[in-house]
Amino acid sequence: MHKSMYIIFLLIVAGISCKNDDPTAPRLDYDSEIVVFGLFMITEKENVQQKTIRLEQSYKVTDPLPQSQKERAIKDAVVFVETNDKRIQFEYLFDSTYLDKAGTLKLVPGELYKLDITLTNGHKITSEFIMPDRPKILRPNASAPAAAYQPLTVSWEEARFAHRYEIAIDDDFGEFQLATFSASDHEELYPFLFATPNEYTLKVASLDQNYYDYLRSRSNRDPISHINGAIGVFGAIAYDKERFLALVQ
Amino acid sequence: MIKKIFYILIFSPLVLLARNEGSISGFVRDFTNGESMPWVNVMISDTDWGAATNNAGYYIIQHVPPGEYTLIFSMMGYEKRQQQVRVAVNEAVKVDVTLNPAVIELEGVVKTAERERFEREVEISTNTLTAKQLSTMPMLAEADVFRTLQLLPGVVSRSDFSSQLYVRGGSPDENLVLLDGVAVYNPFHLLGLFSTFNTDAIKEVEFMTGGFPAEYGGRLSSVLSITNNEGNSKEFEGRANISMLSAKATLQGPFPHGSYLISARRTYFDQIFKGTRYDFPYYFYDFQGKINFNLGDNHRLTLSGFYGDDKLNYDLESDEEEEEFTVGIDWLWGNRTTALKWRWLIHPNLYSEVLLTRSNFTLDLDLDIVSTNVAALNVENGIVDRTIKADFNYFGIVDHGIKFGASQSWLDFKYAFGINGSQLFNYQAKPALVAAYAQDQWQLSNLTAVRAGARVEHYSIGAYTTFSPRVGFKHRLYDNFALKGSFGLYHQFMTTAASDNQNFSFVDLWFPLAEQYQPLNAVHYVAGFEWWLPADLIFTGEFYYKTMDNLLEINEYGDFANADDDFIVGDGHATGCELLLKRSTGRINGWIGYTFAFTQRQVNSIIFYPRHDRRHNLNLVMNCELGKGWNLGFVFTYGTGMPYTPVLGKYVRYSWNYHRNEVVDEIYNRLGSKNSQRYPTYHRMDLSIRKRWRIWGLENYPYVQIINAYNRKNVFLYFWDHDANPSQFITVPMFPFLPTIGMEINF
Repeated sequence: MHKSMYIIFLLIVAGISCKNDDPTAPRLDYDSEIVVFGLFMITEKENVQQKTIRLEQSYKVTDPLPQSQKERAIKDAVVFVETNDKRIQFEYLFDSTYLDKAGTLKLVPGELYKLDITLTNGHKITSEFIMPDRPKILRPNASAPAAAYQPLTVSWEEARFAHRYEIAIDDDFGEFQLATFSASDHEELYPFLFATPNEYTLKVASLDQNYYDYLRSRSNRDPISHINGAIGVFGAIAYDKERFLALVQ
Repeated sequence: MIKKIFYILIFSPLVLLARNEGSISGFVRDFTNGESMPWVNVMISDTDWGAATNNAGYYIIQHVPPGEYTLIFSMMGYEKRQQQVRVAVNEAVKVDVTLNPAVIELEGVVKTAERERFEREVEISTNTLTAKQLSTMPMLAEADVFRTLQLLPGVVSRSDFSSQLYVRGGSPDENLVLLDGVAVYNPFHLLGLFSTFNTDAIKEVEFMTGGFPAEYGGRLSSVLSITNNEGNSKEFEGRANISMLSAKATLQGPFPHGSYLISARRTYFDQIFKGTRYDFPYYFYDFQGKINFNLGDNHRLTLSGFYGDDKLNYDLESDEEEEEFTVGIDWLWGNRTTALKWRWLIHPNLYSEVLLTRSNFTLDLDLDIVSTNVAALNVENGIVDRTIKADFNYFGIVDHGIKFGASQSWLDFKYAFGINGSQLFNYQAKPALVAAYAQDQWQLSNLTAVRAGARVEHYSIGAYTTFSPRVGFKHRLYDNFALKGSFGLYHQFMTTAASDNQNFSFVDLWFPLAEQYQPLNAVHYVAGFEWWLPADLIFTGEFYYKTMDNLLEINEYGDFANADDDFIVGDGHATGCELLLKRSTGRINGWIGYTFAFTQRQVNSIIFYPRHDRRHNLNLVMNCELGKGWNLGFVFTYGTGMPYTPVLGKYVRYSWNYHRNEVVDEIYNRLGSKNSQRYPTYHRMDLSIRKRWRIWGLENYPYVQIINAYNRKNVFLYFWDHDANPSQFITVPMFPFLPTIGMEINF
């Protein structure tokens, strides 16, 4: 090759290598969004129901994140939940939480619940779900103890309108905790191999699709959203609870 | 009867066209070690009749009228050899010769192998690298085939930490990697940092980045064919090499009626620190062997094998007092290939190779979790590919080089997961892949040649049958300037479980296509030129357009309860222009490669640039023999930053916690459009210096390699640490300034 080519090589290399900047954070354009956390829940006791809607805003990644819910809250929205021709207003109470103050909204499995939020600037947020039924845990239970240090089979009666199930087991001391999903009416839980002889609480929850998809969305991926005009969730769970003993066999 | 029909079919054209003429054929080998010599120019003196040797060193000159002739064998780097030969009526004369390496290289007088290929072959998007080019290139710790290939036009590497190849917009699983004709599925060591192949055993690397002919199939983007040395059939020869990564040794020598080669490599950090508090829990090794038997003049058997494993053995202990546990990790993964090749010169006009191969990738992960109890988890993944393949080269028709063949592969994929001896999950699939092809390279005139062929493949799962026509041409406008082009359809029947969002792939998990997925397919359109400049400089330019359909990507949102949504189907296209100025001979050699490329993918209606889309890519590769045994290697890479998905915002994400009976929160990222931003421009300079030293009659090559000589802070990835408030922007860099040393000894 000609000498001139080597000189061109070296000039290119020298020119590029002189520019050795430290990389800096890229320029980010981001407008704050509304974040909804609306979770309606039927607990193990049919008459104990929770209906919470939280409204907050998101922040540019470079901005400080206010530590208190109150500072992140959107307080002046008009929030309605509609079901079965009833339209019930949720009022702002504290932090970022809106509640059905009068407690007139009843959660009934199989019914459709519609969310309708209007912000002061006219922005509308809507979503809906069908309330799933509560699963009934079959095993283990108080009269059918489990074996410690062995895989545990949990079974339940399928619930109507349940999209998926979530199973959670813990002891009372926070030393053993386990949570997993299922699409079946039973699950064999191998981590129970590490469960010591003890008393445990088992919860099996039926999830509607909105909440299940919300749970399986991860931080570094776009959320699977079933909500219009905001990010977050408007969904439901209904769970059953059993206490059982794990014994050495 | 069948034999009779076979001979009639094969030899009838010869009878028709014989016209009382004879032929001259034979094998050309290196005098010093007996290795076959491809691309040797064989000419009959004072005539235009000639041929070039093929990969096995075989040549044939047909239609030679009876008479006495002088055959001239020549190749750059070897002494020219003349051989008198007498051809009688209808006589097939066999002339096997050996060539001596030349003391002085006659540049410009004798043709190089590349020049032979330029004049005789319709080759599109093909690059070859020799063992010498591989060994003199500055690389991390030691020479590496894949990292050298990353410097060629059309090839992109996503990071310094990976030796995977992204070819013309394709994914790494779209590359067919062949070691002596055997498909290798996970050709990596150290979680992808190094490729599996020990360069000391390699004779030649051929890399086809597009428009490859009908004899190759099963992948969409490229073919990498690595040929190992056959072994020195003349005398015993050895080489040892110690680098900061590994120690390796290669031995070769004569064997009754043949030759052998064995080459082994192993990392040694685990041995050095054994028994100390800095116990190193990882090593890899590989072993390659090859034995050749010459069974008479026309038969040759070659048995070859490759065995390589990575092994990690590590005990992880929790440092939290309330949750005491240890996890014993015993992880072994590796490749084993075995091949038996039978080369049979059925007739001077019909050359055949039959290959029986077995390729096996195994991953075996054992986790022993010890806490209040003991749980032994076992994960197994394996692929076994058993293939029988027959290839034939027929030279019986003047101006035609006909190739045809067939293969059948029996594949066995396994994924298993078990705890304490109980198998919880066991997936097995055993598809079969049958293929047949035929192609002809037709020399239309002295200046124009066309290569046309087709490949038919049948895949048993879903009973898919595909037809893949392939066409290429080369037309020499002038003696030193040729136009070329190709078109081809390509199909693929397996994929890896990979996603564009992954920053790093530790190991590729291969899956056969399930019935619900159509075979992946691609169409290649390539047009270009080759221009021979003075001083054996070759300047090539290629423009390509490639469409890719039915591409599969792991579904990161896949619902575990739905077996049919493991993959999402997408498509894409890639287009670009590649320029390469290359010189393979002389004291200063190397190449300048530049690529301007666009790659786009569409998945779930989102159109995006995948993370291997690099707009500009420039590589300067130079090897200088400075005299007195000194050798300088230089590599400079410049490339547009790779795309990534930016984090724009953050929010508090609530969920219900059944254990605590309350709503819990964590900070989640809010992402921008997929791959809508790019990392800063990538550039890096690597250097190597080698010195030849003779000590006690042994040739020694101590060397120093410097990676990232000016310590450019290239970006591997960005993330935001939300533990700080405001969130802290973190940059993970690629290789820093990294000097390594090593020593090679030849005996």
